[in-house]
Amino acid sequence: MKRMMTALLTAVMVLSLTACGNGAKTVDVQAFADALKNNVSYDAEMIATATEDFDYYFSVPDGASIAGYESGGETYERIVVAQCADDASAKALLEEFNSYLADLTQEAGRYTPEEVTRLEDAIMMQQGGVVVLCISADADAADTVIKGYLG
Amino acid sequence: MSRRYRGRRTTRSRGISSFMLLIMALVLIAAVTLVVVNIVKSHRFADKPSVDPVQTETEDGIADGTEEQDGSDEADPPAYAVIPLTGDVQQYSSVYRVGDAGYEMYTYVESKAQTYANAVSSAADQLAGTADVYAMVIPLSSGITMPDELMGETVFSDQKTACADIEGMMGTNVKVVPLYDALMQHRTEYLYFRTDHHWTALGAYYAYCQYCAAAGLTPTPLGSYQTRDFPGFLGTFYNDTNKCSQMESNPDTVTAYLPRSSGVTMTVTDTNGNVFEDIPVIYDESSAPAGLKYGAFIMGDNRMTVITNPAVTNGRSCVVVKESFGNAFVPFLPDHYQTVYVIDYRHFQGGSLTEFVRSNGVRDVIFCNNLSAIRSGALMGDLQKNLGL
Repeated sequence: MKRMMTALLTAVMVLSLTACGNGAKTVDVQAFADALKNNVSYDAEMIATATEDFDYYFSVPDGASIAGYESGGETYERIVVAQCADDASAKALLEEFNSYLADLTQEAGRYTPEEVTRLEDAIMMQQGGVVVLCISADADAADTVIKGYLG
Repeated sequence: MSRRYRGRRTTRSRGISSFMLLIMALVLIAAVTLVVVNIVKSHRFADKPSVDPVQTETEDGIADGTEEQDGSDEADPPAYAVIPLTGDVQQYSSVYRVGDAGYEMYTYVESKAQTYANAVSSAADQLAGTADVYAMVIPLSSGITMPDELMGETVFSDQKTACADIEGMMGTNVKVVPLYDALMQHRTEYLYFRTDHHWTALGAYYAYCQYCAAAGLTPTPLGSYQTRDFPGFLGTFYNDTNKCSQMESNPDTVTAYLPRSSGVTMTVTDTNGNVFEDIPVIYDESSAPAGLKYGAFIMGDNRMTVITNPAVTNGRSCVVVKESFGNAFVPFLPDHYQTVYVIDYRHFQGGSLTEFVRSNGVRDVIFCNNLSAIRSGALMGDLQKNLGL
């Protein structure tokens, strides 16, 4: 019993410390995604992604909020902004973004080579619990918006 | 005979008896285990077609691979021809090159395979009693025609195992069409392009024979097709190898087999929604750039393609759910179906696949996709999202 209590207390402390280490950065994911949509150039019309549709492509961590836009045409343009509960789950989601981007790059290399440069210039960033992916026609503008939010 | 001797003899006799009993018990346990395993196996695959080909020579001298084996799961693994390593080897970012041939590196991703199997199984479950759903998992050239010496490299997952795993994940309503062994039986033939990641129409033909066996169709003999050749093909591996000079000096030829029926027409809705009517199933790519000649098959990748054959009046129709590997497979189908619908799941915007099947009275749904696509999270996402699976 004593051992169980000790283990439980240790677990609670570890969880508390983890929570403390999350970093204070939190964002309004919809506002962030809107800013990327409105201040960056895209070749295709950008259509809002339904929240449940993100699950087709990514394992969205429990407790995360997520918003974004995707190309309504035949480009690979995409915006995804997620606010995760902690740093670890944000890092895991960033890994998924990486792998998603690699898949798209292989596909584009085979069938739409003109999209490869856009994918190579895509911006991915994770800070604390925030993760962002922006595939656009204007990486510099996207970078400016992202730095405005994440510093 | 002294008591002592009898005693020893008795003791010895008991020792043999116990040993024999132990052996008999072990044999009995092994036999029971074998029987149980066999019962479970036969139950598990009861509804899966066993269509591993027995090699027979046609009058063209081409092994048609269309006959069925006796269905035994206990047959020895088939012996495959050995492909020796000849030519220099160079590794690029995603491709190995051996002389003038490229081979895609492949890593099996179980989570994506499960996603794929779940999507196909979901379609089959929803369509049970309405349409039959078939799954064809297509190996890559790096799993079939690559020299054996390279097969053990860490950048190449075992594609026989990968195919079997994915097929084994399929639900009971899915009719699996196994391709790996059928292609391996012909591995020294021109089944895959050397300068491109796709299979040739010949590779697709052997898959078509497997499909026919599973669907109860009689395959058209290869020698009865008219063919069209499009030489000078330099595909994706040519680009992946920085325009390798050995490939450039020995490009591929795209050979296409024309449907035997005359009057077959094709309507294509491209990725931008433009509609093209009266397009030939084998599109003339003789003047196309070297990298685009694979487009000869059903005019490449499009949102939706509808092929009608007025010579077939059985009312039977099918849907092929595919990425680009399916393109070389589709031209074999119009001789059997009045209507063939082709959906490229990467571009499809027609909503639910199952609703499409129901509203069009489709009888057969064929998922025809390659191992590389089945490890891609982006493509598996498209498959689920665009088809509502």
